[in-house]
Amino acid sequence: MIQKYLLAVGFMLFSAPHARAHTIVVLEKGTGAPLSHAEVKVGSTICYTDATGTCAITGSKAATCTIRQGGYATETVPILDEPAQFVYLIPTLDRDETVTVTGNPRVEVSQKRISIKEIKKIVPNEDPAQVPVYLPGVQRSFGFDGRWIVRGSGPADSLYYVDQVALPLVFHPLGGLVGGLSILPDNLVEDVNFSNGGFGPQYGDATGGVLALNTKKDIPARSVSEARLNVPFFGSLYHAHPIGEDQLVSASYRKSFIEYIIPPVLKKANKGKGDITVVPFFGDGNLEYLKKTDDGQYKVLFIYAYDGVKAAFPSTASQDESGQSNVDYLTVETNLSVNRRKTINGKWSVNTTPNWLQYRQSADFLGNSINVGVNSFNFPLEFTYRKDRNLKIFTGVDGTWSRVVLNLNVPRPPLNDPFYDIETAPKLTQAITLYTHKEAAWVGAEWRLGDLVVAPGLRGFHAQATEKNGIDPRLNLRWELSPKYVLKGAVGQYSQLPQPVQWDRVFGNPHLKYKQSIHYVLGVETKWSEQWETDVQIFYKRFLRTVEADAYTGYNNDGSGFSRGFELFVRRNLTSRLFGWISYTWSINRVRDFDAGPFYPSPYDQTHIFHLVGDYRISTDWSFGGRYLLQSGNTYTPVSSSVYNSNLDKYSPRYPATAKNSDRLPITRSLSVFANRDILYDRWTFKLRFGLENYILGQNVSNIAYNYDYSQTQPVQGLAFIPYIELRAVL
Amino acid sequence: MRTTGVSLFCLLWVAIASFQCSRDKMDPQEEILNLRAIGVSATPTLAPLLQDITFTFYALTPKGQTVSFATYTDSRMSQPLQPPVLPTTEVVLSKGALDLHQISGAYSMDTPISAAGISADPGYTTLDYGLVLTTSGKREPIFGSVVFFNPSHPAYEWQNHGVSITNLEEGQSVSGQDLELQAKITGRNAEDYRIGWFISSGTIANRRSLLTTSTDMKSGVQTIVVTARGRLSGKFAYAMIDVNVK
Repeated sequence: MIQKYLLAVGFMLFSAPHARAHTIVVLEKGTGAPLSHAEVKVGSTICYTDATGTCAITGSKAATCTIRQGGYATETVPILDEPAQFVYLIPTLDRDETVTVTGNPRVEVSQKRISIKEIKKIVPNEDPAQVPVYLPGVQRSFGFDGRWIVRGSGPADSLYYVDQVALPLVFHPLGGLVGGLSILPDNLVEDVNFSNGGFGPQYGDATGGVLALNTKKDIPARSVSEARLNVPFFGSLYHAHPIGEDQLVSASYRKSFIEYIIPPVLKKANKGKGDITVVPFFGDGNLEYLKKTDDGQYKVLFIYAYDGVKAAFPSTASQDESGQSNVDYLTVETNLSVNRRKTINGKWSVNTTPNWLQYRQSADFLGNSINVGVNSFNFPLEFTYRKDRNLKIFTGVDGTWSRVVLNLNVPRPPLNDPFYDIETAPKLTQAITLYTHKEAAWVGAEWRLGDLVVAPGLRGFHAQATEKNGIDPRLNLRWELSPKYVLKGAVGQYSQLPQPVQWDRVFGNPHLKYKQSIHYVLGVETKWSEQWETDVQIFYKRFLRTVEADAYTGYNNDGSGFSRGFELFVRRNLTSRLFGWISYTWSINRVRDFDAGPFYPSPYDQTHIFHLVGDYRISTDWSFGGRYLLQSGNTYTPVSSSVYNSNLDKYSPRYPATAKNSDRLPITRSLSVFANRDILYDRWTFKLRFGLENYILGQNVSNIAYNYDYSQTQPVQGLAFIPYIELRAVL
Repeated sequence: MRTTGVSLFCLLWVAIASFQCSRDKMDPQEEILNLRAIGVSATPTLAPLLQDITFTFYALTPKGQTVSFATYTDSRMSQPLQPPVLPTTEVVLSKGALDLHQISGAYSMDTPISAAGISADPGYTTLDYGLVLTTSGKREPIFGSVVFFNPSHPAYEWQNHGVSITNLEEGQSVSGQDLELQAKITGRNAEDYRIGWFISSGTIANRRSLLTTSTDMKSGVQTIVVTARGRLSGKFAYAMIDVNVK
């Protein structure tokens, strides 16, 4: 770009040697991006900048010039006696009624599509993947599991995609310390699609919801670099570099710092109480190559992420006379995908993302060890046929071939035996290599009949692991009653293969069937104005063939349950100043272990979940925002008695058989607040973000702790609020 | 696999967090405020072909409490022994601040175990026992397993280990704060040992460690007990001393 300026300046100098010439280069303050079509007025002479932000004025004797451009503050500057004068315009706030329009997704009743610009204003760490937690029907999972509970379905019952690729590790477990953190930097994400039920046939092997993170698909005009420091958790670097007008290369790397901070803090805090060492760490890196073609695009994406913790602490579970227990955990995920989108002709297009995944996990704890290695190749292929503006047909296939290596020295399952004790259970030592594959084919359509859009779908599937086939029919309807009201509904069947440990011949039951859920959703969208929208939905979800522990076969499919509820989403669309929403979910989740058994509250039963999130920009460089959460407490089964286990010198709890999950933790109310300050320099921007994450209002109870013989209880406090400060340099 | 891994990770963190958050405000296991079982020994523990095994249940109480006992079975028991015919015998060893109740009883097997009946892999089998002890203020059910080794198993030849308190000594005068305690295992076998410290008043920093520290002991005569049980054989030993806390 500098070369272009010099060329322009040189041209002006040599082409008009005898006149007083002024060359004005107009750039955006904070980025240094050239501003075209800016008005430059010198005396009575006016010119407009070209694509390089340059304009030349000759013959004027005026002492100042005035530069105007829509969306920027007008600048009047003295004319300097220089061959080229650079003027930086400061962006201004747009008028408040300007509404940012989001995309046009496929017809799915419960899908919410929110732009990155909106998301980054309100989520923790500006991480786009966190946004569904604040939408109706979703709750954060327990502990440090970054995944979600969706309308009563467990964290493993939902799918987490990056483009067309389903990944097992999308969230850093340690990201829970900072409100949640995914493995993708926010710079890489174009938009987020999330469906908490009634999703289309392109997604399978899930009974909960679907998160799809879509990576960048546009070529920026200039390179972008960013250095980021989040104190006290992590630092990151990002660089995106366009090559010509049709190619982009980007890279990012992020690494945690907490492994250097927590050990000395713990050592000081626990002085005299024993040796405690906890070293958590995480990181990720990405490489992307994007090439636009006349008929579509090629994209190569490499993802690398790891999480781990090393810990040693005094524990009653110590296996030797040192009195210490050790934990060593590491997960490493690597994925390489190649995406090809191609418009074949005016009616047909294709989208495919063959990808290779390597996933390694090792855990050593209390004398047990688990080492898992997964290598899999996945090939999704999707065709779209657009017959006319009223009918689109989608069809595709999806195949995954995996090699799984397991080295285990663990207590024999089932893990949810009420009398199970990890220390006394007999050990199972196994070295297993599995070759497995699963395939699916699906077809769906969007058929517009006047104001009604009908979206039927059908997905057929087969899994080698259980030698079972299945077909899931699904239907979405969307009826635009008026420009203001949309009535929508969905019904569908969703099947999911049990977890590998459940169908494994050694640990589980190879005769298990697919577990299923049936979704019924009915909703009304109302567009009250350009700025205000609501979405009200009621849902009923049946859980069939859920997997339960079995004393004889390890696991069976005898369980069932239901989840029903009401969801309200009130959204204030993004304008230049204000953005936010209210989401509220009322639901009941019940399960039972066998058909004739009694229903009892599921572990995911949370009656009320209320979120209020928002962000307000008060000036060009300052904005404030926050999130408020009110949520029912988790259910738990109270211990009724205990027995002294003389083998281990410890007490084993006993639970009442008829009171599962009969107690509930107190309601959680939390507040997160933050402020953003953008400081604009001529060619780069310094961004400051600081705030408090998860300040608990009232009781802060994350669990119930028992004393050694379970005769006394006390609440376990959740994480204390975490103040943070984040510095970003963007150029 | 992804569920197992992430859940495991969460469990580990919850365990660590629970340790951090929960141990301070409730009664600690090591302080004997009421009836407390501390271990069980079996005689003999290693020889098969027996029809009766004599168990001794060890329990601590503050001085002067009476312990009664009854048979106990638990749904956790996969191979229960026949409970003893009561009454069994009780011996009380009285120390300065605690009584050690030693309750013995003979449990019988429905079918005698023979060496041939114990598979070479893993080389041992277990049978379960139970007893419930009661004082006026507490009921303490106890269950455990006795291990029978195949003669080809190295543990078949093991002898009982012992444990002693090497720091402090019987009758020693000490301060009640930050008192270093050390125990030593004698006659070790090729197995790890699980340690358990008990004390008549105060707390112990790490009751699973041979070397640890006690704090907040009340003045007067206080009793300190250490137990050591083999992680594989289940063999049990204990040592007990009195100290004078100034």
